[in-house]
Amino acid sequence: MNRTKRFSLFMILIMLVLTLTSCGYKDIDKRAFVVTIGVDKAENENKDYKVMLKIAIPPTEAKGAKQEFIVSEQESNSITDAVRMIKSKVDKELDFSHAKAIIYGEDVVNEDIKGVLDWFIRRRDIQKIAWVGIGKPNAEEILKMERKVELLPSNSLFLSFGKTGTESVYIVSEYLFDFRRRLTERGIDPILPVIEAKDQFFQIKNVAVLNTDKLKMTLSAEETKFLNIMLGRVENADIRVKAEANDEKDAYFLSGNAITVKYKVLTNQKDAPIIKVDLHVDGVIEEAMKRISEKHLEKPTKLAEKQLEKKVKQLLEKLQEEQLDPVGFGLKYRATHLNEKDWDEWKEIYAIAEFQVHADISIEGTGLLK
Amino acid sequence: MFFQNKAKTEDWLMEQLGSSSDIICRNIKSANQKATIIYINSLCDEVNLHKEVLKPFYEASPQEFTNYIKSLPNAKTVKQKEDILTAILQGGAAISLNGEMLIVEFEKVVNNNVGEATVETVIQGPQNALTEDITTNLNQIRHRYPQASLRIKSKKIGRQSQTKTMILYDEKLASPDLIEGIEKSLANVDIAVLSAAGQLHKQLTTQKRTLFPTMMITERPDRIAYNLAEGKAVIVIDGTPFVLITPSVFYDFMSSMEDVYQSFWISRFIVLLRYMGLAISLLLPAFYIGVTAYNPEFFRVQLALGIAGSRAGVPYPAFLEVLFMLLMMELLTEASVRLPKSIGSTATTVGGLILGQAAVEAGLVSNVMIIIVAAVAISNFVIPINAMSFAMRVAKYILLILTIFFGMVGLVMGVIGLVAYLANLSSSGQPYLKLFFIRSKDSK
Amino acid sequence: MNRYFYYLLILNMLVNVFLYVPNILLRERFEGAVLAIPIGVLIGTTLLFLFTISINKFKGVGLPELLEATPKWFRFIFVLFFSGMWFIAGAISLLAFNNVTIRFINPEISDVNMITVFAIFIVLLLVRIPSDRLLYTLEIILVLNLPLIGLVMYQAYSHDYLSIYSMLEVATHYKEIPSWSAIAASTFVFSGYTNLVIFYRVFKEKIRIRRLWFVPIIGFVNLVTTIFIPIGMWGADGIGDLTYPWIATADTLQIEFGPVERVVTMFILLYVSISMISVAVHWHVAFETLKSTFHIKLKSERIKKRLDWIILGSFALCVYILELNLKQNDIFVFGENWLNFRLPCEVFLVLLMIGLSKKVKQ
Repeated sequence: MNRTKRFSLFMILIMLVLTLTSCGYKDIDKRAFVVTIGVDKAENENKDYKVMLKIAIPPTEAKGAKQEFIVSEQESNSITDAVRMIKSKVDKELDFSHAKAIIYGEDVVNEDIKGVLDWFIRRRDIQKIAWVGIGKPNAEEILKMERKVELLPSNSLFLSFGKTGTESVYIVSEYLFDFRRRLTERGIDPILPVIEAKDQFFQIKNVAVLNTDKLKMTLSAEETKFLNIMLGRVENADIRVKAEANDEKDAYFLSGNAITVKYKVLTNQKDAPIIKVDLHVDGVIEEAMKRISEKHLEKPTKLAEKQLEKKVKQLLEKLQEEQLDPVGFGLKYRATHLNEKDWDEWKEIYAIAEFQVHADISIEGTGLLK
Repeated sequence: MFFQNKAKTEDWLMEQLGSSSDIICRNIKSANQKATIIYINSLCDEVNLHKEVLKPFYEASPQEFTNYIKSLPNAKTVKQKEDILTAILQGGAAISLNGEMLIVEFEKVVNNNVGEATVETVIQGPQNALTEDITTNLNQIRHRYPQASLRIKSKKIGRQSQTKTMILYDEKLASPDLIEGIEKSLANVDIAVLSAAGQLHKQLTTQKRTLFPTMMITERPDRIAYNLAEGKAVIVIDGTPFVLITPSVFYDFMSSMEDVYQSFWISRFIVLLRYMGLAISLLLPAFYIGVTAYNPEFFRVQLALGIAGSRAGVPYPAFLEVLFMLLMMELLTEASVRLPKSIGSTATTVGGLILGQAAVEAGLVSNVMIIIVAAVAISNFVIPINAMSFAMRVAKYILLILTIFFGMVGLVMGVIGLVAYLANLSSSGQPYLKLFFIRSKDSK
Repeated sequence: MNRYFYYLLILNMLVNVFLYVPNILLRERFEGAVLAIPIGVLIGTTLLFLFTISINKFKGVGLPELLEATPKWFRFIFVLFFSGMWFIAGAISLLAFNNVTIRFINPEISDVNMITVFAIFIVLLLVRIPSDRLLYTLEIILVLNLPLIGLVMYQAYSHDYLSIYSMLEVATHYKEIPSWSAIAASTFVFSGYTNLVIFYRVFKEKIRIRRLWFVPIIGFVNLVTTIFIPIGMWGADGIGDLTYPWIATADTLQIEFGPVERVVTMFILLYVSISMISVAVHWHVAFETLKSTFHIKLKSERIKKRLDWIILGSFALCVYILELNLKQNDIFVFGENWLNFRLPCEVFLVLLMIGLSKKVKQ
């Protein structure tokens, strides 16, 4: 008797608990997966942004299905509002949990980046490991591009940025969280890869350097490579060596691996502050225009070192001129100085600092040819 | 006076037994003595009866014969007439001789041939199982565990069935508390007919509504010997090839005798495999629902889209799909257990292959669901002890329901709840689930 | 039984992520959080060792039994107050992880509903379970979770984008004098030992003090990880704006070749399970303390059982009322105040324990 009573009480309790759920249940086929988000400048003068969501349409046949997607767009003054409007156009629940890339149009980045970043950081369902990039000429071109080999919408974008696919020295991959870190941190400046729309594909070979709120400078492909090296993100890079310093003709290409970069800031009361950069490259000759003897490698090594030093120095000075610091010399200065005002000091130092670049190349071999 | 009493007892016995064709009441007379023999010929070994009782009866003098009968190892004198009745019902022959009632047991056992183990099989290990006869079983156990310290306590259980039940334990290893506890709970058992080990197990647990087995049911003599050596007690029941082993904890239900026979790494691998099977059969349906319906960010984007695509034509929500398919799977399992062996395989083929394929093509269920249900079914069979695998089949639904209502958090809650529930169970005073069990003698 | 003591310690070290310890320390990252770590380690371990040495004088008893030696009025006030403290400890983690759950895992469910479900679940869990069985459960849950948490931590430490210089920048502010809040927050990591007041009942042997040498080391590593990994990911300046620093940090991790690519959901679920068991442990201590005080006079089993339900029911009700009245930020303020208040209480508890052990010696 007592037992049955208690049991029924228990069952009632369970029923009550189960009523507490409030329909969080949403089947996977009722969700629209956003794979890429694009933000462009609005064409309408009165609106600020054009927000585009690339929504993947799931393939109904498992094998050999073609990629299908729709790009839903909306112009509005805020991203929230735009997304809300898009929701009313799409029949399924928008799901941002797989939005793995965020593309800003060039125009947006040229103005103010902080306004379009806030939403992405604040929303819980946006991945903080989404890739961020600049679309050139705008984000729309990149989003609407249909690549023939893609099995999954935007997959080639993910593969280019991620480590699972291609590893190119010209691609500077930026995560959303790292982009914000660079934006907020004093002493290191944000960078974004530029994705250029070509006819049937896109190419990522340049990097844009921003200061705390907008785009300042876009680096050439060659400079991008050196910045990537300076950031320590690539270990393997090919280095082009010319026959003479001013000669247009290439002498040979060095395939560098195990590239390490060290830098430090030397401040001495008497002299101008010096930023010292040490590069170390182990390399193998990849292609030689003239014959290089295995026994006489000193000369070509010297040549390569000198040219590398010069190029890196040129890049750093170019950045310094604009007061940009994507490498993070300032952060390092702050991290190694105890006083409170290190950031103010650094701003003065960086304006007048001189770069000393030292490259140390050792050619490990000449490849399969002697 | 004596005579009267005797006559009364005989009459009373016959009255109790009634008129059945197999009840034999025979008055025998020789030159110098007479006697009455009552027995049931379907239970009694008549050949032996003839050899050991009837022949001497005609050959010996009355005094010699009485002494001879009393000296037989299977003879006893019984005073109470109710006891006489019980003895007759268990294959004894009642001989009334000069006003004295003697019982000689000539139990005829038909099903004492040792068969192969069918429920718990091992590849390379002892192949035989227990039989339905308790003496044969004791014989097998004694053979495997030849220790002087092995004690056997006998008891009859069942108001009507009076089933012979024995507690076996090694006096040196088993704790006296354990045996005392078992005896006490056996004394409390109130049941009409006892015919299976599971039935007794149900009677011995204090909680009436239980899901998980807290006593091991096994048919393997080698497992019994192994457990006796660990200081556990074994309850043997007459008439069933299964015995109860107590205390048995969670790990015992996840272990097969194969683990003892294989080499170290192989047995570790098998055990690991089994726990993985347990995890899959318990968690996979709930996990699938939780991830697809609440947290699709768990998957890689390719997989998320793939599942969404495969579900595109399915008209129901995923949880109905899961419940439907799991139900089909349970029906299939249940059907193949109950069906005769020759039809069983047909049922599985029809059900598993044809139904599954057809359900997908009709767009009732998605491909992924078939994979999940199949994985759940197969991995459930990896659990070696049947009682545990049944319990896990049920537990799976509890987790599934929690997940349907509360998402992945419900699943986490369910798992913690399940672990806590198992940890809270006891088997003869031993905690049921606990990591790093120390199997040593000092635990008693 | 000794190992269960470590589990209680590890539990607190893990659960600090939800109990606002990182929030407090990261808020004061330039104002003394760095120095608060070694100070916290020092104070925490000192209290830990003093308490453990004192309780080691006894065997198989809990604090309620030891308090029999004290005057009645003191016992009554003390028990009421301390079980209140333990209840709030559980309540804050419950409120906090409930908040995280509805924000990140189940955004559709309302916060009050979710906390009711959690509270009912924990009450059902606690009402039957004895101390030793709760410890077994704790062990299993931890053993299931720790490898995965270890994997997440490995991913964090080996992340390419982890900025060492941002971490160093914060570390250079080590000269600042820490605030009371920062010290209180960093000592919390060690205070798992206080649960012994009840759980020592089921410890069959004494705790080996010598084996505790690694506690300060693990605690230190734990605290350093707690504050420096988020800084390394989000930057010394940027981390201050985040409401849930550790969850945001977990979202910066990915397992490129793993079956689960995005770590954050897994991370939250792991921590929800750990927090749930931590709430159960804290409430169990509060529950048992209250029970052992009130049960002494009661004889009838039925009334005892009813009292158990009343105590646990009021726990659930209190949490429910708290959830109704507190907003996200209020919970944080509440939690911080509790942490600040906890430290002197803990010192008092340790002093009491020393006093009791001295008394027994005489």
